[in-house]
Amino acid sequence: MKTFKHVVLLALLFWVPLSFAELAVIVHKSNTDSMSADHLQMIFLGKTKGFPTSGKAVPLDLPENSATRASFLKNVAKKSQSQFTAYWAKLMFTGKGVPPKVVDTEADMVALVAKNPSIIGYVDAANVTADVRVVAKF
Amino acid sequence: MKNFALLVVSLALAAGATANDKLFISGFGSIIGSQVVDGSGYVADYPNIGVYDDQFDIGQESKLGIQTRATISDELSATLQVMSRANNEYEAEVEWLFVNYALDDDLELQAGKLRVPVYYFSEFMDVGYAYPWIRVPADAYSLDVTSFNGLQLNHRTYMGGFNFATTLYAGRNSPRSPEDSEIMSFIFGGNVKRSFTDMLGFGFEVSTDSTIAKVTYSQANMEQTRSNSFDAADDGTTTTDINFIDVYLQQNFGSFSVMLEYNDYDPFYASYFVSGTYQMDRATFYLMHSQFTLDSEIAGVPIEEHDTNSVGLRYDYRPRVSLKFDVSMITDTGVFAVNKDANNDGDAVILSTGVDFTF
Repeated sequence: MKTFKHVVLLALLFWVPLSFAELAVIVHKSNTDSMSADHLQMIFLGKTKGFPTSGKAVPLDLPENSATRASFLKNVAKKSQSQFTAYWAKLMFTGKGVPPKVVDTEADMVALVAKNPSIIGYVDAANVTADVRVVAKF
Repeated sequence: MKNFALLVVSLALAAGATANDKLFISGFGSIIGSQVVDGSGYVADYPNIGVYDDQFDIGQESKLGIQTRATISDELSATLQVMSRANNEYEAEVEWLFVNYALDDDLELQAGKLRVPVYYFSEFMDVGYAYPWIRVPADAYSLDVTSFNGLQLNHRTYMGGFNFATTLYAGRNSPRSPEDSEIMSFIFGGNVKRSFTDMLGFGFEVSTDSTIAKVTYSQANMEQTRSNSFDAADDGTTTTDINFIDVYLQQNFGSFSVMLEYNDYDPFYASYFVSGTYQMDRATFYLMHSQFTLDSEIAGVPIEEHDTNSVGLRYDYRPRVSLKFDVSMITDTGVFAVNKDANNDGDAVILSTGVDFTF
């Protein structure tokens, strides 16, 4: 029984923090739009070039080895890593689009979003600052 | 021209090194090796003539493409894509060169050298990373004219869960001194030169996350000049009105996908392919069947007819690298086999492996 408690405690130690690693999609503070998951997916797949009412939308991406990006692909883009790459390769090499620009760190992502009302990005919710607005959490 | 293209790419690459926001450089490539293990030969790539024999060969379908896109203003950009193909002695050739003008968020006008958008995979058939197979279905992707100089209007919109994409294009593919149509010269012998004028076409695509349906129609005037033919009576110039209809359907059922494409090239031939894929983590397994049938017959038998059955695997080895393995069996049922072997037929079995990448 004691062992069982230990197992549960250990499981909680590992499981709890993981389950709270939330993904936050962030925009400039001046952007007051609310956005459906469908609209967010369309922005990151280049199917729409704009926010519902706040003008032009320019999505940013994180490097391929980022854990936050894995959550973004699953919850926002709804594609596997290779599907996302293949999707953008098709558009890019047929002259129909340019994939989201990759920024190196989540801190850079927050800084860029805070500066430019057109930019939309995503970070681990723990890295959100008061300089940006969270438009959706997953 | 070829040196010029190389120069432009080198300049673009040099400029890219300075991390210029206005210049976006990307690329793709495939190294593909195949060998015919039974039979005498297999045409894996009709438009560019990739033909395998009984020796392992990586010099038929291997290719590299480099693309630079320059943003000139919010509305205007220019794109150059240069490709080097093994079956063209790796000479650099401009595949795309166009300016893109965004008339509004949904509508854009492209002018320059573009790919003829007839098949579903026409515009990205060289980008192996973007599809599951080792190659686009050879029998169904045999059209020899792959590019044109002209204008294209693209419209894209989204309504109630559906994406709509409409394309209109017009132009010509009539080089001042037409080169041989390699595929026609290969099949007919002698020299066949073709030029296409008054090219006009449209495409309409409706898609959701799970379904794609696309139809295209194209028409043109084709002028063909044959010389040095086996039979001198075949030499000479003819002009023909041609039209091409293509229908593509894709349905995804979770990990399973089914793809179907049919095209009718009037007055020459009809071809189609059907394929099923199953994705399991990083692996995608596929089955494919494709067939080509020439309209002309002798005693009820098509002069050229062949089909291919393939089984293969795509493995996503790294985020931008996929490995592919394929076994294909071709059956030639035409009057004249494309690759006649000792049995006097064109049947063959071919093993292929490859790596596709994008950067």
